[in-house]
Amino acid sequence: MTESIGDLLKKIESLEERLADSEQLIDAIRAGEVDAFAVNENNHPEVYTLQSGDYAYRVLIEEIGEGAVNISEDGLIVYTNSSFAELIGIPYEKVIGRFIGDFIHEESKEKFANLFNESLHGRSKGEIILSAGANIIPVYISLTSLQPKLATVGIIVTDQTRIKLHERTILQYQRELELKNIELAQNNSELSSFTYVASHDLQEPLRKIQTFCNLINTGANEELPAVTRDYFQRILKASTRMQNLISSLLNYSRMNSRGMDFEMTDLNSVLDEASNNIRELLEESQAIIRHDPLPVIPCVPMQINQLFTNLIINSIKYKAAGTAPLIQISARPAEQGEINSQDTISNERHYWKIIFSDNGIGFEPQYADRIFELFQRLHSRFEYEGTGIGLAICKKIVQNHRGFIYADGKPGLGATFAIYLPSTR
Amino acid sequence: MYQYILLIDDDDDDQFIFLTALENVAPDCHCNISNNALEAFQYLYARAETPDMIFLDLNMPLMNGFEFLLILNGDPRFSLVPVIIFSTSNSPEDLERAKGLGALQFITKTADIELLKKDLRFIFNKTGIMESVIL
Repeated sequence: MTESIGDLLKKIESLEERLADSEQLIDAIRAGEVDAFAVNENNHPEVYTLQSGDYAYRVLIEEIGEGAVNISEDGLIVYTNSSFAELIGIPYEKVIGRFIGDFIHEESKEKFANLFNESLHGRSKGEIILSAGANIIPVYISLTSLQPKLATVGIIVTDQTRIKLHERTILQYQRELELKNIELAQNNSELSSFTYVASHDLQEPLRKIQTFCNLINTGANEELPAVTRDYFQRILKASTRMQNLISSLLNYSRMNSRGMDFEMTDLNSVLDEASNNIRELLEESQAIIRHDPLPVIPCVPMQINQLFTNLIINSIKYKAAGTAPLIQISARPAEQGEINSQDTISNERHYWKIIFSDNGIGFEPQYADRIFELFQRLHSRFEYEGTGIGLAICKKIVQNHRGFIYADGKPGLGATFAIYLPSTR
Repeated sequence: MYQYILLIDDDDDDQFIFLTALENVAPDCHCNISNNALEAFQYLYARAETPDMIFLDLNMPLMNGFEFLLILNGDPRFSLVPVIIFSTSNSPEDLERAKGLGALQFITKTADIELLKKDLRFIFNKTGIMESVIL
């Protein structure tokens, strides 16, 4: 019996439907929407995957920037993505079918063999060097055995060329920096021992000159002509000045930041001590010091004492004629961004701002930076005695405390010194 | 009472200045001079008597004042001789170290000979060596 045409047509319709379903499914698999499907046949479920069921992963592996290689257990390359081919600079089709060992640098062969053996029991990772023709490529590889499903090992290869290059550059910079640091430390210690020794040894002959001038002045004063006595006076005066210079320089060289013992210190008592040290000068000049309550900060008290002393002496030295020096000291927490931005190392640091202002002769604002430089003076010795070291010491002390000092002034309108000192260490 | 002191100093100017001051303060006092610490030991061991007092510079070549003091302390013959430091140093560390080694006084060399005379008067007075110059 032949089937009726109607039956056949029905069968065709049903087959067409199934075909459409299947095509839909394949499309879905291709698009990566599903990667497997199950069919129930005779009440027995069966799972189907198409070869293209790996599509999504395949796309991922192909498009990923890392090299991916599949090798058999004897090292034959059975699969590679284009990234790996690009990495070693050999066309894709010429990579497949070669042995992985062909692309491993002599130096890394043993290491790779170890990593490979290790991976057969699971996973392994490490850095090796690839070589292909003239290309030498440092890479990081991650090996995963695909057993028991497949008798292959999957390798993800990450190019380390740029990282290595950066590492090398950083290492080189670091080495240079270390060398510079050593050089700097040597220079610093040479310089400070030079200043110290020079100052010490320079004082000796000077003391002799002064001693013998003193002996002449007191012993044989009456017998000498007036002009000779005047010469000796001048020698004595010059050598005294020289001695002041040397002892100031010695003082400056001692103000290095090594071995500083910071302690929480009440600046009010430091100011009292400083005033006490120069009491005679204060009385003689009839200077008045007015000050706000000063803060307690971590500092080296001896150095801050020297800082305050030098600033007060500076104000007295450059007082306006016919007026008693008035020195006003104020203190308040510094506001954020108040300090020159190029000077601030950390914005999170808090500073106290301590201001010394006086009613002295002031100075041209254009010299505001220069007055802190060693041996820089704005006046001749005939006008004002000075070594040009006092304010340089101030700056060094403030720097030792990781602070900042600025001067401001106008001729005839007094000088202002603003000191910023960190409120915490 | 026969009085004699020993000055150990490598600087001839300082020797001269010291002798000038001593001459003024204690004209009868006899002062011997050694140019360095080794010479001083040679001198000390060559004589039967011990000096009444030693004035000692610190910064000297070959053997410095501290080393001299250390060796001197080890010899019972000299360990009781008063030693006065006569040095350019004014550092508190040197002073402490010298005192620790048994030095009695510390005179810092200055440009003012009057100060040296004052120091010498004070020392002789205090130690009772020069009864004649008590002020």
